[in-house]
Amino acid sequence: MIKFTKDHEWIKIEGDIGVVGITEHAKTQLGNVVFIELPQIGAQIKQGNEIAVVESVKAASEIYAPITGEVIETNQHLIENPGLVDNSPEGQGWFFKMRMTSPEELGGLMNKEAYDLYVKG
Amino acid sequence: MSKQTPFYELHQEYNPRMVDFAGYALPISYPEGIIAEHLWTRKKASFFDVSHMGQIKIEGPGVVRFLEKLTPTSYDSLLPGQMKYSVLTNEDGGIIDDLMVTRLTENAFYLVVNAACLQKDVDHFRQYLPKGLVLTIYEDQALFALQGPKAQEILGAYDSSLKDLLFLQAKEASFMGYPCWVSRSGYTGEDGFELSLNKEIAIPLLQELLSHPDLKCAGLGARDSLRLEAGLPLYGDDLDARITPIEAGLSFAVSMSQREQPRFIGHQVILEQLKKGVAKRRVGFFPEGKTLFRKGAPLLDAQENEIGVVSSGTFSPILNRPIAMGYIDSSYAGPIFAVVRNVKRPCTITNLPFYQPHYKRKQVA
Repeated sequence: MIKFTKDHEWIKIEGDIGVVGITEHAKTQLGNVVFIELPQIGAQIKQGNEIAVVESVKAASEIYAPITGEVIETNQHLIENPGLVDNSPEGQGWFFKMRMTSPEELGGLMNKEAYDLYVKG
Repeated sequence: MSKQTPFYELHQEYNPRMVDFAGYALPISYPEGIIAEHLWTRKKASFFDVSHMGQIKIEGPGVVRFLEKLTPTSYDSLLPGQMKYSVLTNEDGGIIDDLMVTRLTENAFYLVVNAACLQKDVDHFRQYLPKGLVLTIYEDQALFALQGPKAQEILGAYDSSLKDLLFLQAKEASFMGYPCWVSRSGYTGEDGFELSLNKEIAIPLLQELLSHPDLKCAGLGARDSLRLEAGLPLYGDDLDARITPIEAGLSFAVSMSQREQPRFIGHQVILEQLKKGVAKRRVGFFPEGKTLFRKGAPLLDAQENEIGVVSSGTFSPILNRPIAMGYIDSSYAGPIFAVVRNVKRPCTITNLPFYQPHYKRKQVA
């Protein structure tokens, strides 16, 4: 299952783990990504709080936790190759994985259809 | 509603991301992105629309004296077709704008000023303009830059005399029958040209030039990262009315004859600084991590005292790391930290430019 936030993050659910990244739309808005400030492993973040920062040439953008949980893994490939976000924002350019503590929060997020409409509107 | 430059329709053919800049709709980047445009400029050549900038002619007897009052530079020995970089100074020696000054004829000069400063500059000129001098603003005149190692090859194909034009020289030329005023100058640190031409021929000429495989379009985003790599200041970020040319590292704009016999507004402060030194100075920084520094980030010493501020910063595609410029207390020599998103990030001072320019200067035997 994959869900989307109003801030253009996606979260792919695998059991109680969510893989998080930014959408193609977000990446287009940002321009060239040069650096991602990823969260610490073990960080406990509440839904909606700032969890990462994406630096593009023009500006730094905050990424917000799509759900409440604990960061269990970060994408080390992004450190050497932030361009992965440019090339594959919804695939290899994933940012981090969280263990969800309140899965009912997913109900408040958009599915693909709703997100596509949201972006168009 | 943003104004359109003469190249507006041409930009749309290349699908840019547009932005309002100084009241004009301009491309910030095209689909390949800022970094690709930046690298292409340093390897091949890029076209930049700079028609938003102010183009002014000032002519009449006494124009040199006028310019030598409003800028700290001297122009007496500037020949027609030669140009200088200079600044407009206020009573405190602060910079009102930076500009390029070209001598057209004995009594006529052509100035290019920053878009956002045009009205302010013209008001300033008019305040001091003596009778007998005429100031004309070129309305709707197209202006573009063609920058990069391939610029000579691309443009020179239409006019073989271009190869004899050296850095900071300018002349009338004609490309495919389209008359232009062309200068060998720019804001990227590469060899290249800037061309002023009638808006009617702007797009036809560029369509022809862009048929060359080595020429691509580049936007304001790449223009900024290129000039920063080349250590060039941007008015509004690195220069403003509270900064003198000496503090900004632009002492070369204060001509020798103006130091010996000052005629310019603000000479008291500036000559004092030349004699005694400056309290703050513009420097380059290498952030030690990967976080970019941006305008306004405070600079601290190890005890968290403020010792300066970042004036501009970006990512350098050539060096593959963040770079920044800012002002620092001249007397300070110790560890420096920029505060970015509430975290102290160490950095080191470095000489400017970050990238050595490739200007076509006279060959010295």
